[in-house]
Amino acid sequence: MTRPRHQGPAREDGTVLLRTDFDHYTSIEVAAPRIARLIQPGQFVSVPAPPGFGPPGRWMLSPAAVRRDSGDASGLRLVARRSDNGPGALGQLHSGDLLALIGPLGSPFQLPAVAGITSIIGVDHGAAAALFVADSLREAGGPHQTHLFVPAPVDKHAAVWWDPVPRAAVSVEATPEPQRWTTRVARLAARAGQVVIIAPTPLARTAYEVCRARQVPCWVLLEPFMACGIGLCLTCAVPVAPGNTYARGCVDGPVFPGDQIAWQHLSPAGRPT
Amino acid sequence: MTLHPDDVDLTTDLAGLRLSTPLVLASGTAMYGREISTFLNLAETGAIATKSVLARPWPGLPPARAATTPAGMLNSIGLQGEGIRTLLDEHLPWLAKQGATTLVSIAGHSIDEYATCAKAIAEHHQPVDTLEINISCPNVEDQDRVFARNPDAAARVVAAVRTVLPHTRITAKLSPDVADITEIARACVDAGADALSLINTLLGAAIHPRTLRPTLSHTFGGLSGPAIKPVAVRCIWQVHQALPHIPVLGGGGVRRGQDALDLTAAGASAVSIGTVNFEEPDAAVRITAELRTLLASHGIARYRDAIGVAHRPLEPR
Ligand SMILES: Cc1cc2nc3c(=O)[nH]c(=O)nc-3n(C[C@H](O)[C@H](O)[C@H](O)COP(=O)(O)OP(=O)(O)OC[C@H]3O[C@@H](n4cnc5c(N)ncnc54)[C@H](O)[C@@H]3O)c2cc1C
Ligand SMILES: Cc1cc2nc3c(=O)[nH]c(=O)nc-3n(C[C@H](O)[C@H](O)[C@H](O)COP(=O)(O)O)c2cc1C
Ligand code: FES
Repeated sequence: MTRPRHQGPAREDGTVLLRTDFDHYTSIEVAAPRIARLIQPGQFVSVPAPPGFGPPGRWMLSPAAVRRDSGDASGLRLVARRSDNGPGALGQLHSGDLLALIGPLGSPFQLPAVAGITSIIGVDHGAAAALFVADSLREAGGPHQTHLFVPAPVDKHAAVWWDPVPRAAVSVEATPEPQRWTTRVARLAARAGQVVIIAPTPLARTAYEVCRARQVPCWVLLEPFMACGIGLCLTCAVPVAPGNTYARGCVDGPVFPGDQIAWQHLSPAGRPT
Repeated sequence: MTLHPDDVDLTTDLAGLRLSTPLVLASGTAMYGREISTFLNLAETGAIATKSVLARPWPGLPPARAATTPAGMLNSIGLQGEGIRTLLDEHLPWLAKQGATTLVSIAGHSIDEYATCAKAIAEHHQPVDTLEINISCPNVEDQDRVFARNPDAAARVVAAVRTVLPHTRITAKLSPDVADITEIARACVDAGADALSLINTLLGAAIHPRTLRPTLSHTFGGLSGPAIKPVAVRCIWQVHQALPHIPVLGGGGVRRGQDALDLTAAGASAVSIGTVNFEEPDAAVRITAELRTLLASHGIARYRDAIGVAHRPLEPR
């Protein structure tokens, strides 16, 4: 059997170059030159779950940074919350391990030029994808401000992924309680021409509602359950407005204009609609 | 003399449908072929069973639609799809252009809906050679009872489609969630099925550890993956024993060549792979190669000679 040549998402055996464990997160540098060349902010990769996880045995991860100028060592920085489950399994990898990646997956951000700054908000591991967006806006010269929200305490290890973004353009703070989240986001939206939010669904929804009330365009990166990430299974349904139709989160998303999402039908796993 | 894997003949036959290799991409796990074709050459894959379609576009169920369990996954997609017309107008011509061998899967929420799908096929200029009828659907005219769980209901679906499509090869896809699968198998064959596909997913449920509420919005979902392989082997065995002349497309939990060989030995004439495609979209290539090597190691020169071999007594060496 022969395998077809193509330009779309593909398997690429990445090589783990470095793993760093922080208080709350594990970050790995993985060499994957093909994906590094193609991947855009908003897009993601899948990594195989270790034996004993799944099926489905793949986890979706958005890169925090992409290194394109290092030849065969060009690759991605992937970040996951430390845990015994799910992508926390990155913590079991060692330098030299092969990682059967598939990518790039999904559709990238298509941020329009707007008057005013683009406010990029990343919560928890969403801070990773936020930094990749910020880095590409920096390259493109678009005015932006990046706000990362991570678990307390916030110290020099809190947001381990922020080089190469200049620190002046990034704020890192502890994720506020739900009541304070609304006022915090309102302050950020007040100064913005558009908002990008990468956060757990309930926080993303609040952020969207704050933006809508202020008529600030809001772009949301959603992370629905994804069994395949490549458009085969329809597990990643995202209800689109006015409701009762579903987009494929992995192919049509993961980035959606907030107005397009039928939020009332988007229930996180285990929460009754 | 040892047999070289390259010398193994993998061709097989499903009620007259010739397959170059026995591996079939299971319905609902490869959509209509486009996405997986960037990983697999469809012309070199045994066949693809397209995602089941209804008579009209259908939204499916709200999220959450899937859950992970220790050895399988649960899904409740609810037959989201574009409907039979888009399949006929857009996807089947594309698949034909790729040189893919295709099983067209249809579904319905009533006997009329299955018949409507069959009529659309009969009236369309693009001929359909092989149909897989997914009878694991709730019958809205009978308190949402699943057709596949009752021999009369299953037979009525097959008969309705057979009446409209007298010359099309029909395989009926059975559910394992029944007391006696041979009873349903017989009913489908008597109603006009040329072959049987088994098994579809088993009904299951999961409780979310954080909320202690059902993980799936629909509470129940179909369990697939390695967890269900022993059930598939059992069902294939029983049906092959009861109806040895009816070809079976076996599936359920196949991840490796050994799994494909086990289902074949139990009585399958070809083997479908589903959930494994999600994590390894080119799994068909690997599993086919493994199957070839295994057959060679058993000294079996033709895949067809392995079909149902487990039902024959071991010959003394
Ligand atoms: C586009 C995208 C980008 C992502 N980027 C990152 C990232 O950079 N860093 C990071 O740490 N996480 C990332 N995630 C999230 C991650 O892939 C998992 O979805 C998430 O960690 C599951 O969280 P949970 O254990 O709380 O799952 P819950 O929602 O509580 O579900 C319970 C269990 O279901 C299973 N499960 C849940 N979601 C998935 C899934 N998507 N695929 C397979 N099984 C699942 C797991 O067994 C999980 O423990 C991303 C997800 C998506 C869709
Ligand atoms: C996400 C998903 C969607 C499915 N959709 C269909 C479908 O539309 N029609 C159908 O007949 N079977 C459907 N199935 C069942 C598969 O075709 C297959 O019978 C089942 O998953 C068992 O095989 P496996 O263990 O190899 O996955 C689906 C399975 C999954 C996991
Ligand atoms: S995750 Fe499989 S279709 Fe989106």
